[in-house]
Amino acid sequence: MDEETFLLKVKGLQRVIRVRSDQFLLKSLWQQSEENVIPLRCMGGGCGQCKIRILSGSYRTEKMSAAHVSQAELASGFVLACKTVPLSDLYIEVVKQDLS
Amino acid sequence: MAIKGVLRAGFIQMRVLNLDEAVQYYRDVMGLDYVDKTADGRVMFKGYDEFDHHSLTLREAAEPGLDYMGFKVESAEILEEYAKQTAEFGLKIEAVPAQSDQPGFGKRYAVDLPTGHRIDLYSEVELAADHPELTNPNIWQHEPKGIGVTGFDHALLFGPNAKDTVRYFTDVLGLSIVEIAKAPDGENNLCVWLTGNNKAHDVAVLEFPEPGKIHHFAFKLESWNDIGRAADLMSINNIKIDAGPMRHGVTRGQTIYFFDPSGNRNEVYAGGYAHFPDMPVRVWDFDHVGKGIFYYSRTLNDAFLTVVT
Repeated sequence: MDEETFLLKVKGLQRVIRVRSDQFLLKSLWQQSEENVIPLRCMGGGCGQCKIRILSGSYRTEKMSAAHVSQAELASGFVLACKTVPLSDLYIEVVKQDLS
Repeated sequence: MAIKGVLRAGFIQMRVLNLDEAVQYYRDVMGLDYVDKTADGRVMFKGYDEFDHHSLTLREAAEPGLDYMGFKVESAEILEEYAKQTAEFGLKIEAVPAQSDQPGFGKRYAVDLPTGHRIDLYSEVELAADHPELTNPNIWQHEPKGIGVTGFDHALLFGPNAKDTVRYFTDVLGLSIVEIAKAPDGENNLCVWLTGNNKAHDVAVLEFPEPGKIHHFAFKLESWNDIGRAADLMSINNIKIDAGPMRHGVTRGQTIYFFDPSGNRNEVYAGGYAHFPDMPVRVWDFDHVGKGIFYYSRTLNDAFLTVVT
């Protein structure tokens, strides 16, 4: 990949995944066929399936459904991976069970 | 007019996270006609083959999902009769003045369903400015854009007390039950599909713990070829497809499920049999529901029945 990338470490997963710095986390995983790491469904910030908690690292988010991530949760690192762009290497925990 | 009472599911107002993104998607990808913006900033759309002022309104909000869907009824007299019967049935009902928050619409009644959804009943809507031609009509008044859906078709509602909502639909609004999917116990219903007219369905209701949820709302296409072309355009436009292209066992419709930019599930739907009120109800046992929904793959995944907005 020519684009700048960061490393994504997922709690409970041995390997580390390389993700792009210029797009949403979930899209990076989808493009690498890493569809089972974080549950992937609507990709639009609406369904809440891809809820994760960022344990370390910096990131930015775009608008996501308040029904799934409250302001208080946002402040403590909960996000939807489909609306989160990494700004550094990240260590995350998956909140939802994979339903697929 | 042989169709009496409820004519059709004719309208829906949905919440979206980003209105500009949603407008671009519903206008340019789905191919709905942009009608106008309301005074408070919501946006109205219609399908090119629909006559009423508009059939979809989008409202920007903190969470996506359904505000309410509307059923058009035969006449102002029937509307008042339904209002009376709705109150007698025990549901909360409130009049909404004509030409208020939905431009072009006459008087409406907002009804709170036992499943936690609001539906509106109405009888009068202004003819759309850009309606299908009435004299020596061409098939289009202008060439459809994008996927080119012809209009709003139906919605699937998820909520508790589904049995009571279905009873209201049949006993007060006179909708016909078209098909039923049974719950695992074989007695209760998992999902019920209903229609007020010749279409295979106008609305379906599924028992679900959270109130007021919507599984999908659907737009009509003419044919299986149009479904294939829609799938092409979804890949071209990076639309997230949920299931399909495929066929349903239920209603026999040909279909794709996919997500709008806010995660609301959409469907494009073609075919489906013509319903007549004298037809017997078709029933799916729980262990055949997979085939009823996904006629080709024949398996139902959990996420399909739990991911809603």
